[in-house]
Order: sequence, then C-alpha cells, then structure tokens
Amino acid sequence: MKILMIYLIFFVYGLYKLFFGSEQLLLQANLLMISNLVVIICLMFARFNVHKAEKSSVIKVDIKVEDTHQVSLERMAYTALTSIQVALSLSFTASLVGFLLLRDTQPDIVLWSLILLVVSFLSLFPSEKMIRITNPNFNFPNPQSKNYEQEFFNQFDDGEKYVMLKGLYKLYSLVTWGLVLLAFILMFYSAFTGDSQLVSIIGIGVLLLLIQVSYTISLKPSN
Amino acid sequence: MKTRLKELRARDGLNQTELAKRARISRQTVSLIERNEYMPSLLIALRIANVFQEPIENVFIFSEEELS
Repeated sequence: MKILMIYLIFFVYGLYKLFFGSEQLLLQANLLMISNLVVIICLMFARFNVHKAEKSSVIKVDIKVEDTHQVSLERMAYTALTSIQVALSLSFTASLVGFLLLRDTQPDIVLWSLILLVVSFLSLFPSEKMIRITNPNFNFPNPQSKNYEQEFFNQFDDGEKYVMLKGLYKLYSLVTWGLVLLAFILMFYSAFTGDSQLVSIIGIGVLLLLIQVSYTISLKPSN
Repeated sequence: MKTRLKELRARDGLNQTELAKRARISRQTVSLIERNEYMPSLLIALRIANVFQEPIENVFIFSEEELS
C-alpha cells in the first residue's frame, strides 16, 4: 500500500507539472510527460492488483468455489504483470526518445522517464507471495547457477510449456510480419522525406535473419 | 480423448490445486486437461491416475476412432 501511495504522489506531482508548471513546455516535452504519467498509472494499476491478489489469497473460501477463486487470483497476478510490461515498454521508448529530443532542454523529464524505466524493470521481479499464488510448486533456481535459465525453464511442467509454446509461436509470426511491415514503412519514409532510415532498415534485416535462421535451425533434426 | 478428472476430483474432494500438488504438476495443467485443451504426457497421465488410485484407462478415455 505504501508503494501505491508513492506512485500516487508522483502522479499528482506530474499532473501539476503538466497543467500548472511555471514554464511553458514544448509539445515533445508534454508528450513525454503524458507518457510518464501513463507509466505511473500502469504501475499503480499493477500494484493495486498485486495488493488485491495478496489480500484475496488469505481468504478462506468454500470448497465448491476454490477453483474459481484460484483462477481469479491468477488472473489478477497476470493482469499486474501485463501492466508492468506495458509500463516497461512505454518507459523504455520514452527514455530513448526523450534522450534524443529533450536531453538539453528538459533533462528533468528525461531523468524521470529513466527512473520510471528502472522502477518498471524492478517491478518485473515477482514477489515470493505472488509466485505462491500463481505457481505454488515453483522453486526458483539458485541465482549463482551457471544454467540458471535452463533450470528456470525446467521448473515449468509440460502443460505450462505447451501454453508458452502456443503464445511464442503466435508471437514469432507477429514479430516477423511486424518487422517486414516496419522495414517497408521506413523505406517509403526515407524515399519521400529524404530522411535516411538506412541504419534502421539494416538493423531490421539483421534481426529478421537471426529470427528466421535460429528458428529453422531449432527445427532441423540433429544427427 | 475424454477425461474423468472433474468427476474423480469431486469423488475424492480434491480441488485443482490439491490435485496438482499431489501429481507434481501445475494447476494450469490440470485445468487444461479438464478442458480437453491439452493431452498430457504419459508420465503426467500416470501420476494423475496414481493420485486417484485408478488405472490410467479409467481416467483418460479414448474413443475407438482415436485408438484405431
């Protein structure tokens, strides 16, 4: 609840700065401020869901509704995670764009975006209580372990891996087609505005190559 | 494939979380199997059957078409 209050204070301060700030902000600065406020809203929403899930998890319910209750707890936990991921992506983009456009004129707003990026990243690490709600049998591997990622992955059972695979397969198609579309958009943008996006197009090409080749190699039968 | 998981859970008074704990799988997997969205591996199917102390074919029922 304390964290929620801290977010609220920052949110109110941001709103004040946006509407009643002494200096007239540039359009880009206003947009960055709005993006920072949206990040705070996402973090507050996530915190609220975590708090709600933690509180609900100690409530004793009738055996007939135990499964439904458990599902609602898991839904809250995953809603919180989704909000944090939105906050992370937004603050990441805002930090980079802000650094490019506003580092000289409004460094405080850029710094705010960077702080929100760090907070969003740290919020991604789930609390022990939340893991007990979503995966009661989950055991975190030793962080010192050399095979940490593999051991972490092995903690999921076949059913969970099946759900992950379905999600990742959809994501693979989405990312591939998204990158292709983006490369075309950048090409037309470069051609019609004269503002070269060559580096971005080459970067997208390298990413596409890596994604396609590594996926096909993983399908290739081993000797 | 049909499963009798729900029916057997009701018989033994187990919720999904408890069954998952005893079979050493996740609750999500139990839910997927019950909704016929996922066909479990032989190992998981055996563990579930063991929890109910039933032969595997009494828990997971295949149609003649699937077996032929």
